[in-house]
Amino acid sequence: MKPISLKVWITWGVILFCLGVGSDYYFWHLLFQEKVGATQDAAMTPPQTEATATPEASETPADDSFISEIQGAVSEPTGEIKDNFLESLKACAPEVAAQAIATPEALMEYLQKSIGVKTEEVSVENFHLTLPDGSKRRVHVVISDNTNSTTKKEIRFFKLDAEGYPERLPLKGDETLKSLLAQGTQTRHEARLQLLLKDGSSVNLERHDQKVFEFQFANHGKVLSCRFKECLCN
Amino acid sequence: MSRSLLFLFTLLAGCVAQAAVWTEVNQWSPAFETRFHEWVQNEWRTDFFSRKNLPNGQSNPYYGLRMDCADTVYSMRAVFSYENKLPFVIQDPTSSGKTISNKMSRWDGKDELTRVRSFMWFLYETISTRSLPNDTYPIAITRETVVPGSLMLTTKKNHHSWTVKEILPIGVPYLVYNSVVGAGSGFGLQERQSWPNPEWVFQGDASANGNAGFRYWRPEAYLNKPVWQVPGYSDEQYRVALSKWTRFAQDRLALRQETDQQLVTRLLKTTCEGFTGRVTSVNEGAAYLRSNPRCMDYATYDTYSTPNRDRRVFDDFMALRRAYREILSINGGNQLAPELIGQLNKIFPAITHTAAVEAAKMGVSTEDAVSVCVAEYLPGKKMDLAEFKRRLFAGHISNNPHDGAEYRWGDVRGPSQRAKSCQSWDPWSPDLTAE
Repeated sequence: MKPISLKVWITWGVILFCLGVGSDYYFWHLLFQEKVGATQDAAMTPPQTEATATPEASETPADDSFISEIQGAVSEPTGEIKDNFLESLKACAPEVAAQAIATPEALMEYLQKSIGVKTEEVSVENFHLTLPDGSKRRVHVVISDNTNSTTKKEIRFFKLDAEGYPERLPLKGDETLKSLLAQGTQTRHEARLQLLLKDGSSVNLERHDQKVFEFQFANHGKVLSCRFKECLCN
Repeated sequence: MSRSLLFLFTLLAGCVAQAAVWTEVNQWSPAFETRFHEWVQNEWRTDFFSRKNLPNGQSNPYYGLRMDCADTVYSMRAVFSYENKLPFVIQDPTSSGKTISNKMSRWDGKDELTRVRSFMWFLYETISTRSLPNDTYPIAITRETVVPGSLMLTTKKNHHSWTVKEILPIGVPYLVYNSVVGAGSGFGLQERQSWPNPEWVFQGDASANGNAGFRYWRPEAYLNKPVWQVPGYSDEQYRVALSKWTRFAQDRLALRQETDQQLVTRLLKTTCEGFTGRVTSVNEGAAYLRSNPRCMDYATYDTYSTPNRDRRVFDDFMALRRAYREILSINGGNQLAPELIGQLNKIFPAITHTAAVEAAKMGVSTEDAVSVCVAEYLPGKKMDLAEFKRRLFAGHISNNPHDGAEYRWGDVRGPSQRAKSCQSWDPWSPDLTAE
């Protein structure tokens, strides 16, 4: 058998290298990239299956193909959840704690109904949609920066790219929030709002699918801060 | 054969070229945070995006990026991250619990500079002043925490933000920022070496809930976490009465006391810049009105009206007035140069009275030896700062772009016929009772 020449070694070396690079490109850049977004969502999906759909979404038949998108970061963390809500509430607002308030939901309801809301302003809202073709959209409604107005809001419309990052879509100018939401099924709703209460206290509240996700209650010098039931009073 | 293989290799190598916007080689650490502070102090300047060439003669890779106030704040952090191959990660404003980072591969296949500029444009159309609370946290007011690279944010009512270029030895912030991206705005940023009015910064909610005041960047590990869990979080600045806020902050940050002369000169300079800066804005509006003499829609009106600009100049006048009045009450102004006192007395001829009384008493001011900050506001027409103050405080200055230039500057008392008949938005007039 003839000895293998250096040229043949180099040729086969180059061929194998190219095959390696080609495989890498196919798996990591073409095939796997499409699954990254879904993987991100799935990683955040807690084990329970109860969908936390908004009233709008609950009126339409369930479509569990986007269940991971619905539950994304809305649900409570699955690990050990610290619950010091009651003791923090007692420390920060003993007069409110005396009303047998047991949950952040109950606290928000108490503040709004018993103390009363002087002003309520929504500064940010995110609507997550799934279109009939299965593609995802997000509507981001935010206080407009490029204006002299103190109240004007702007609507930003996004599709999601293969990695799950938002990609702004141009609007013609005649769209409304309602018309954009009508394009698909709403799967999730996030809202950040500020409540100024009648007694001078205030609340910065973030709600996910109408449920209290996080809040800071500034109660005349004391601030009660909670995400779910993990709280801090200072 | 070998040529074909070489071609195939080159082709495939090109296809798998860097996927991320930039590859992070380093990680954020206290040492890199310190380098960030030094970089902001030394390199972050108003012409950062408007100079075509760098001092070394190379073309400026960031030239031509046009941004508003929040874009400016994010750009400061993003550019440093890129130049130092550090991760740049922020919360995705469109979805709680998700992030946006330099790892995204949307511009895969493009050259690095195109990827970076595309990433910046992507940020600009995604973020806002309302996303800043997700990515930053409120800090204590000390020289160790309020550092170059930190930022100031207003409540949502006034939706504005500034980068802190440095804290001057006298305890005053040197702010670099941008305003509304208007029709005639260029690529340059703006700067000021004075305190914004805390009544404006914290307007509507002076508690921690308003998210206003000094803030710093969250470490990546604390994105999408409750803000109060971020190491260094402090709600101290929300526990200070607004009437004492500036004094409190400046005392905390000062390395040395500012002399009376320095204080008044600095405030005078800021006020003068507000006045002269208005000339371009008003001229742009007047030029538009001349070529489009009809009622404007909201967007056009908003672009050419100046209520926020006029309010900021008014606030600067009031800050100068308060400072001068306080100096007089403490030492009678014996630390001020006589020439400066003459200039101040021309601007505030009834300083011992209220601003409202002074406005009622103040007569027309003509250009003379003690005039300060004389500007040609219209072709062939000049006025000094004292006369502008008189007109502004008397309510003669118009921020309505339906008014022609002579009304905008108070040469003629408005409102004009067009301003009366066309719809207007977001009016502002000076509140002389708020001393």
